[in-house]
Amino acid sequence: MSVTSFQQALCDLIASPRLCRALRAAPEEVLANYELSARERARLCDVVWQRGMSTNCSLYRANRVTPLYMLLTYTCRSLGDQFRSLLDEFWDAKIYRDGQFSSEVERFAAFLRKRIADGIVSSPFTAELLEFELKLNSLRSAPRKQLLREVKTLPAPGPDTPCRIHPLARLVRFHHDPDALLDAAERNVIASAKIPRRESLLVTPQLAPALADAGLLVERRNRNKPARLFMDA
Amino acid sequence: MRDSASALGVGILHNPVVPDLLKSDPGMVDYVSIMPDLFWADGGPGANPRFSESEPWMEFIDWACGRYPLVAHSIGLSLGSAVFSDDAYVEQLADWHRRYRFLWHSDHLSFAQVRSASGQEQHAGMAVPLPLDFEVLRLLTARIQALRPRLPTPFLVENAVAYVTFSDEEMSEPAFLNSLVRDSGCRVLLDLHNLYTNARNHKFDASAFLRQLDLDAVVEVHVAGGTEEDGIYTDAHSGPCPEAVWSLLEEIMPCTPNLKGITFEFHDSYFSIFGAKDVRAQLDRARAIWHRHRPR
Repeated sequence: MSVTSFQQALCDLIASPRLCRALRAAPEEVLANYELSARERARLCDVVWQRGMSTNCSLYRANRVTPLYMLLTYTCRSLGDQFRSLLDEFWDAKIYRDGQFSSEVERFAAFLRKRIADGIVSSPFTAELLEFELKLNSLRSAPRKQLLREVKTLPAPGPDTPCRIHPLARLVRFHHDPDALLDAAERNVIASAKIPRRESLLVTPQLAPALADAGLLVERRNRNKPARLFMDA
Repeated sequence: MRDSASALGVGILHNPVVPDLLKSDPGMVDYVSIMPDLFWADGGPGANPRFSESEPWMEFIDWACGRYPLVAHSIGLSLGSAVFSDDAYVEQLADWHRRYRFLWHSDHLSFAQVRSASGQEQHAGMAVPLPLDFEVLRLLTARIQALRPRLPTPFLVENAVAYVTFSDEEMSEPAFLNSLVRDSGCRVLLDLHNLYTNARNHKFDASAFLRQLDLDAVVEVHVAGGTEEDGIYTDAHSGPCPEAVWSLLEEIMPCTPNLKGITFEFHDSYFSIFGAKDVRAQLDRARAIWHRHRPR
């Protein structure tokens, strides 16, 4: 039990510079939460004074922020000054069960959706950027070849076949002009941007031909960027 | 004593920029080290399917396994965890051994997974070093002994980088590793940059460490570069190996009869400042040392 508890305490300390400071100030109080031998207590009391412990804390934070910033770049940027406090709150929740990028992103997305619903997130853009990036990620990680093989084996649709979206397509609903929004996010000025409201759907390329045929597509091109395809909602 | 498997030479640890490097310069390495964990998304125990392999990454491993010998370097066994077992994960590794015929398997002398009193899993967010005590040695020995029959190749344990030290440890790190080799039957992946980092931060003599280590057990060596931050030197894999790491490599080459390969590690996030030519130069330097001590 003692080794288990020691490892738990060490992990808790690495995850929380606040807990390290608390242990420095009041070791008995902090370590009362763990079943430790005298030697383990002494080790933990010593470790929090070592310079390397702040390296551990920094590594922990860098390792946890990397998947979020890598896979939810625009979302993180939209949070501006709130990003850091929201991260602290997310990390305090102790729901880090594995080091998987995808599950960490899903957990942060669930956390953020709740904070958005509670009115805590001040950016009006975070919700739509989050949904956009989650769908983009799901496309990136989709087993493309396998899905295309499956699609090829489907029977030709009849008049009663329910309408469904191609497995390699995603629709994202925006409440602000998506072109301006995504450009501001790309340029990392989203936290202070003023973006006009506009209801639209972002369409991934696989859906574009059918929507173009139906005359529903609005295509916009920036000089240096690939076209984004929108459908006014 | 010399093991029977043949020596490979110089390899590289796979990261997202390595496929393009190898495709443009296939002769730069003799083998590739793969972190299997990065090739799949793990939905966690109970998920169905538990492991979803990433299609673009799989294209690389399928390409590479026809061209290079592969070795496996996992990050998920959490060998030092007091309470942790994940049979499905071990089975997945075993399945990959069957598919890709890795020549050996390595993981780290550390823990990353803890189970709380309420039974909840928690990830440490990094590889956490272990206190080098007999209790930990027994724990690791039992875990490696249980693991070895399930993975059909030599199993190597990598010496850890540790930014903190634990007071009152019962064994030195070389003594701990020597005992682990003897008791569990594992072999050693000697990460010379981890050793250099620890020696530099904790002010001990890396050469003395090497003189105490049973170098017969070393099958693979890792070399890498790092960065100094706030007075601590970090194992950042951020660029070229320090001269001291090359010197350590020169030191051990005559005394490692079972060494099969020298693997260069770098982190892809540094590739914009540490480019293809720099990677090639590091590999060439490692190869020159290899050939000086292992003439063809």
